[in-house]
Amino acid sequence: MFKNYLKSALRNLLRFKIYSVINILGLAIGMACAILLMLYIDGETSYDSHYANADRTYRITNEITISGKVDRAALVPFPVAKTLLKDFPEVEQAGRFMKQADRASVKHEDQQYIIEQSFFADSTILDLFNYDFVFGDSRTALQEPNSIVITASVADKIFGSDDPIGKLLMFDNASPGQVTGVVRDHPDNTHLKWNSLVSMSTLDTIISKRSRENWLAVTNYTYFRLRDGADPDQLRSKLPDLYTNYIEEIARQFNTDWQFEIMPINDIHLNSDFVWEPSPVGNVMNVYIFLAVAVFILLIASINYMNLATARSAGRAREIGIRKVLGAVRGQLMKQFLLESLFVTAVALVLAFMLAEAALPLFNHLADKAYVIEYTSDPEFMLSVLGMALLVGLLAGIYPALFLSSFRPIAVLKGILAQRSGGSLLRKGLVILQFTISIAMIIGAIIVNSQLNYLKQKELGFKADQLLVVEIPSDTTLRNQMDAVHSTMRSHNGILNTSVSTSIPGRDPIKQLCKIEKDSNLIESVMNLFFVDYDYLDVMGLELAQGRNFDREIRTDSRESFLVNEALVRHYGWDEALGKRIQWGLDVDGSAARDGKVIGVVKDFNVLSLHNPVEPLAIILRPFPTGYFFVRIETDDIQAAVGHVEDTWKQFDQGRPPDYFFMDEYFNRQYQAEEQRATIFLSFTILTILIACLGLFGLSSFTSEQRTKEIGIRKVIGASIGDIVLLLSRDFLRLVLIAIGPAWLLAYFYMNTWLQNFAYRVDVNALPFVVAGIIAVAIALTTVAYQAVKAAVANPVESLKYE
Amino acid sequence: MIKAKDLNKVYRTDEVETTALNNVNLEIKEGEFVAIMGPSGCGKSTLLNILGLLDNPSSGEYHFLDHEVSGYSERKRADLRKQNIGFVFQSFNLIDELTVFENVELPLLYLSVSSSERKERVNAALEQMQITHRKNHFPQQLSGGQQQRVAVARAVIAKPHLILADEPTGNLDSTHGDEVMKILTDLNEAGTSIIMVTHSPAYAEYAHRTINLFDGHIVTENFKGGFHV
Repeated sequence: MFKNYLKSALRNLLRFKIYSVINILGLAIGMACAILLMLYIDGETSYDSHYANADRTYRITNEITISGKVDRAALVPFPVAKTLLKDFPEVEQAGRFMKQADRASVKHEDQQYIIEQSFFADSTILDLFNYDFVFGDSRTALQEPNSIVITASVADKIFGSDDPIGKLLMFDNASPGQVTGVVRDHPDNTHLKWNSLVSMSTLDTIISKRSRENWLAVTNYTYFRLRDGADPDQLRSKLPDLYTNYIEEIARQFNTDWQFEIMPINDIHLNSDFVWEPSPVGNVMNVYIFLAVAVFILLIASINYMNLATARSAGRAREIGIRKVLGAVRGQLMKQFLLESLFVTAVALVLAFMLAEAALPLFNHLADKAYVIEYTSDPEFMLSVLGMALLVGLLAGIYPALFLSSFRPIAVLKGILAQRSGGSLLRKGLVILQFTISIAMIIGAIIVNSQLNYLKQKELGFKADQLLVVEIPSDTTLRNQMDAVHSTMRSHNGILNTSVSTSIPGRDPIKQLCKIEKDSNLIESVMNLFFVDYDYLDVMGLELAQGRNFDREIRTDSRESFLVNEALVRHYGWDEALGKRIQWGLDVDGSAARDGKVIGVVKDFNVLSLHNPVEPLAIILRPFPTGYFFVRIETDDIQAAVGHVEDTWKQFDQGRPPDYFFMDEYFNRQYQAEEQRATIFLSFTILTILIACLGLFGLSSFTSEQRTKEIGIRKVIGASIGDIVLLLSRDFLRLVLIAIGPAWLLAYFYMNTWLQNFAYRVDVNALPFVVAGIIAVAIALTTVAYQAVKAAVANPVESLKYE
Repeated sequence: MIKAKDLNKVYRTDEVETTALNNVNLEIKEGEFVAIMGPSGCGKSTLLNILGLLDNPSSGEYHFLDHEVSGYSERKRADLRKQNIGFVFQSFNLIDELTVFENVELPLLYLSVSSSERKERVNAALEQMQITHRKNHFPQQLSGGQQQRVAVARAVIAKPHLILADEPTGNLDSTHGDEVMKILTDLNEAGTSIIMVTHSPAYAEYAHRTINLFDGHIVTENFKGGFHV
């Protein structure tokens, strides 16, 4: 019987080729999209789950509330790891990472290299994360001071094919380190993408014991593993002990409240809302958005199948009637039609894999990933793809099965059904649904793109173009000759000015505890701080709203003057900002390193991406800060200016070339991931519309076929080709027009929700809505018109002859 | 085998009520060959559908093989039908996507007959209808007479007690019509009961008995060689 069903299905497919192609192609494109989106979703949701014991491995973080303001940091104080092991029996192992440098410059045999993402790490880290060692021993690699573990690609870059073990590397700091281990490169889906680890014990020689035991400085990423079977909630309930036992006494005088939290490592990528993450994290909302897109595309492809199957039901009616007369009951027929839709889906799935493979390089390029479709090694993924296909087959087939199997044999054999095609109301509803989704997606794509354009074009409050930035290595000799560096740099006529600052827009600024005047009291507050030199405001193009800049002539500026931004003035409700008191560099004994007054208010500028509002910021003068060297260029010959910067840098830094970038590119890199997602969304929107149009094409060809006689009669009576095209297009056009209303509502609601992610956003106006409507109508009309014109120009004699 | 008492069939639409059958009483014995005649719209097909268990009467009793089936569900009717009744239609009603062999095989599939037995029985039936040489062809590739022979083969494949033929010769020329009538007569002689709707008095002559319907009533029944009112 099964064979009989298959034969019937196959021969039906072959007989009605246009419909079969539409159905299979639509389902295949839909499922290919779904496969790609599933790769993305799988990639996003599988972060950090590859580590052994990932389910028992957690990161501890903290939330500090000071004067009502909450800061959530991915970092905790130095002593937390050891204390976890000592105080909580549930904890089996604990270890710390501490950022050494985003771009560490290292030297090997007089060659200079840049290693991105370098950390200090405890030896226990190698036990917590089962890194795959290519060379060296994970148990001992990070025990001794000045031990270095690097990734295979770094080893390859520096040592080539030589055995790296025992080789010397000079980091920025003085003492040379020895390579003790090489691990295989990290997979893409981990939040911990370090390229070198320096043993934490190295720090003992660099940082004072007092700093290493400081409970108030949050500096370490701290991970731990629970014992097998230990209850994480039980540990959670004991975490407040950390505060009461170790922090409360010191913290009380600063009026702060601490809360520790633990999070399984595989939750970090999608659910972190902490600052100072070691690498950019994802957002669970994007997973939901792409999941919704996949569901929408599959729904639209399934609707095509339903619509074409029921529209063409008249063609199948006789077969159904005969089978019923011969003794088939409804259940058997339903089974037959479901099998048929599953068969079509299976054929489409094979094609979908081929399409997905073909599109994968492009998709990887758009997503900046290296996804691979694993046919055998990832059974979970394959099962979910097969499950998806099964669902699609059932969804597409269930309504036709119910509908077709309900035919009464006498009626269909008499040919009553041949006259009309059933379910036309539902079919119209489904077409409306398809276009509602399509139009809403078009609106979404337009708004997303205009928002991203807005982000890039919005005035940031500082001049980001023609601003070159060099990251200053910590060991550089050029620090001792800063005045000479500045003046040599400025000697080029394309270079207007130079400056140094600890902070750079596009990165979380330094946050430190300060006391600040509010209602004539000094209150504690965690403050965003920039340490800058005299020329910073000028180089950055920052404007003063009030007061004055730091002045070389005024000696007290380096000891007791602060600049603040307008957001800070608003935040503390100051009527008059100038002269307000701030203390920075607080010590446990109550003294402050700097106790002074506000001398000027800087107009707000965006330190972080435009997702975030401008936060209160204090700017402190430090005549020779470290961090970033800013060069304000103003010339048509940027190349020459950059050359001058390079030459000057080499001259002062023992021939080492500068590691530089341009501010605007750096700042906009914050939107790179969003732009990638927007492009992906746009691509899938186009595919969604394509699939919806395939269905519309099928339906319109069916309708014009069905109305051949009517068209013939109308033409004989005198209808023009235009009349006929209008007649045939009108019905479909009406459906698309009806879809516009719900699509607007849907898009308005969701896009407003999405825009809430941004502190600065475009106003949602009518334009995208109108444009999307026009696009949909135009596309639908083009699709339908082909069939309509074809039917309209046919010779009426041909169509009437059959009668 | 068939006993119908006061059969009525009324079709209702929103505004119109049409009586297709009006108090029809009928008895047909095992092995009989009955022809039903009458003008278009007299209720012939309606009667055939009810007798063939494709439809239920609006009222009245219908005994088929000692089952009172007038209130049977579609499922129970289908069960009884597929084992006991074969159908032959004017327009053949073969499934276009299936070959001759597969069309004939279909009733056996719904009866869950084993594959080897199916093959044997289908081949025998095709042999009997002298159509074996076309068994791998599709219906569209056959002449009308050949198609009807396939349809008859399909009707007899499950060895039914009763064959219902709805104008089996209606779409055939006289040569092919005669052929089909010969086959039906042979089947009847082998013991199968036959009820046939026809417009042709000549073909009605093959039957033992002819029932004339008019406006849903049985007006006359004439037996071979006699008249019965």
